[in-house]
Amino acid sequence: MFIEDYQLEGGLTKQQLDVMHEKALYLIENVGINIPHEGIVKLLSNYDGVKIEKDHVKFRSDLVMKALKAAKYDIPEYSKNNWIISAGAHQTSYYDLDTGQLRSPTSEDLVDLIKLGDALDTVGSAPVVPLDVPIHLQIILMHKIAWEYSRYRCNDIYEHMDKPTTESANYVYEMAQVTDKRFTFGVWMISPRSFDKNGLQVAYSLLDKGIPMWVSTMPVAGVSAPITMLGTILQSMFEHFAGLTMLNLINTKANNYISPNDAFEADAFDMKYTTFVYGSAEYIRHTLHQIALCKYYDIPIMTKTLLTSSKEPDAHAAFEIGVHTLIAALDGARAFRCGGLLSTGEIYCAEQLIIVHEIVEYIKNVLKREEFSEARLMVDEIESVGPGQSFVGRKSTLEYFRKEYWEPALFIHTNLGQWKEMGSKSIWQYARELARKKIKEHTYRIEENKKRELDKIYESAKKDKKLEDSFKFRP
Amino acid sequence: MFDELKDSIITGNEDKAKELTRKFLNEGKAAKEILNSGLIAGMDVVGQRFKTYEMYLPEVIMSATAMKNAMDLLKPHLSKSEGAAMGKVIMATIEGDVHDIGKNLVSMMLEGAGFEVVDLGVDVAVERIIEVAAKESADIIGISALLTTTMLAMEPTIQMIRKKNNRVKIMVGGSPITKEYADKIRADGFAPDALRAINLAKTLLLK
Repeated sequence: MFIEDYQLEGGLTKQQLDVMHEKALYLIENVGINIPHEGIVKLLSNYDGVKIEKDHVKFRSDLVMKALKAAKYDIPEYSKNNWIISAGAHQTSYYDLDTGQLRSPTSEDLVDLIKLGDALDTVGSAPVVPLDVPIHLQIILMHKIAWEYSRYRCNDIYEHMDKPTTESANYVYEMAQVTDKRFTFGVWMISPRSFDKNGLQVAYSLLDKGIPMWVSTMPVAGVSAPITMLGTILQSMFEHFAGLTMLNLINTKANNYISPNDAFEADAFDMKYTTFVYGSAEYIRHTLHQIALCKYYDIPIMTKTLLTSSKEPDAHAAFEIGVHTLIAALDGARAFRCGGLLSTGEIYCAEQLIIVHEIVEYIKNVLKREEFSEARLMVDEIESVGPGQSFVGRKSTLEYFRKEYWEPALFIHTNLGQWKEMGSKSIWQYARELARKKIKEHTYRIEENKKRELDKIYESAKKDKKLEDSFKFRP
Repeated sequence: MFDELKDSIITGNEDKAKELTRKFLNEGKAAKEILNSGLIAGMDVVGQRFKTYEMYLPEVIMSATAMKNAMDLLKPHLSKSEGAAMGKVIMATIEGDVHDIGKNLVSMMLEGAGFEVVDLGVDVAVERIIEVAAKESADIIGISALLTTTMLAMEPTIQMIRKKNNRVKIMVGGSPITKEYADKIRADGFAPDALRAINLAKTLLLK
């Protein structure tokens, strides 16, 4: 997909990937998965090649292959051959841009962060959960704000927003219809080998609408999957393919696919601190295997390189993200996820999004293709400028200096004196100032008539008792 | 005398722990002494080492399993009060949520620490929690949630449990849960990880 000047070599071979593919098919056909939904199991019972025992389902290999072949990935025009940053999503802890303190995010923060993300051309889901509005309105508001203030958020194959109940899904669907935005539904497998029952119910209720559906799973090494990385990846393949096969058989009015956001995800787990690990050396190796698999199955590559276990935008975060993103980019990745997240996805930080954006820009310039030409060798210029003279005043310097060198917005090249004169600021402070400036200067708004429709739908959601009740639990 | 048994617990050597427990019983050693000086002494070291990050989760789980199996041999020889578990805990993932990694870890660690655990699994209706807690005369109910949507079921769940059973202590945990949230929904306690859940359970028993 991309023109490469530099590429990594090594990793999993084609023969090894063939073996993993065969093993995944074997597991689907002989071990199977649990599908805890009567209606869906009934639909599946109509097909040859589906073996059902209560809610335990096995698929014959040809059905899996058919589903893999039928999977369709709608890559938006703006992301073709471009570098894509997907900003992190769904956070309930946020570093306040004024105080630097951790707190719960509000609707106002959601607007600011969507504006910031749009100013940086990011894709993905809504960054934070507005905890100042009732639970049943949160997901609806997250879509509304994302669509009102951004071009790409919650609007392409890179979004993975929850729709926790059928009622909330219907509101988001209605909003998508009036704004011409993309609406999909994702079903999550719960490793090992089962599904989120509620997710299946919402998917089942949407089958008549002809909505694209995707499947994801996140097996955890040594906990919900075998301890070895390859074992966890194999389980991920098995679960992804089984889930996709189920969707392909039940959601026949639209296309189904493996979400590129977590394709072949296999999470590392730290047995010392009992935490998920992102940004570790092993996770980077996993990313390389994930890229190999995405190439093997022709699935768009989206890598989770912008995650770190660091709690602040510090050296730890910069090192993990910089190394991870560079290595993934050298292996062909151009789409990078989880921008702005800290603490393996427990915190959202606007400054961190600014920093990772800069890291990606930096790497883009490392991998920039060198144009080779007589003109650029500048033999004439070397001949013309003699000993004791300078190139600074040459027309060629004036003509080329902006194109030849990237000008960082954040990692600026001041000397010590200049840095002191500018206030001796830390990178966090620079990033904060830049974030505030971008939020203030952001101008994109959805068309006024569409905004009115969104307002109308949101107002009706506010009064909808059935929607409210769908989030209430029986007590 | 019980150092080897204690070490078998620390190293998670289940076969050795059972063999030594049998040997001491055959030699006529008091079951209570075997329990206190061998099994519990070993688990105390394990707990301390896990807390200081010297021992890792799979090692702790092996130790807990060795402790549980040795304890099964010991139980018939202990008087009712000596053999009684430290406390009885009902564990469940909240209704609507099917994630159980953390809950399972807490259950295993509680058992290893000498608690009796009734694990109700995932997506558990509050009525079932209340019913089992009453039937088992539970001391503690542990509720877990992974999702920000399902964690909100904790507050009404706690309210309903309190209406029916004012004696039982309720502890909560799971990725999106914070101490502030636990206080807000009037849980008796919150633990950010499995080890701290054990310490919390011990503290709650004293309240």
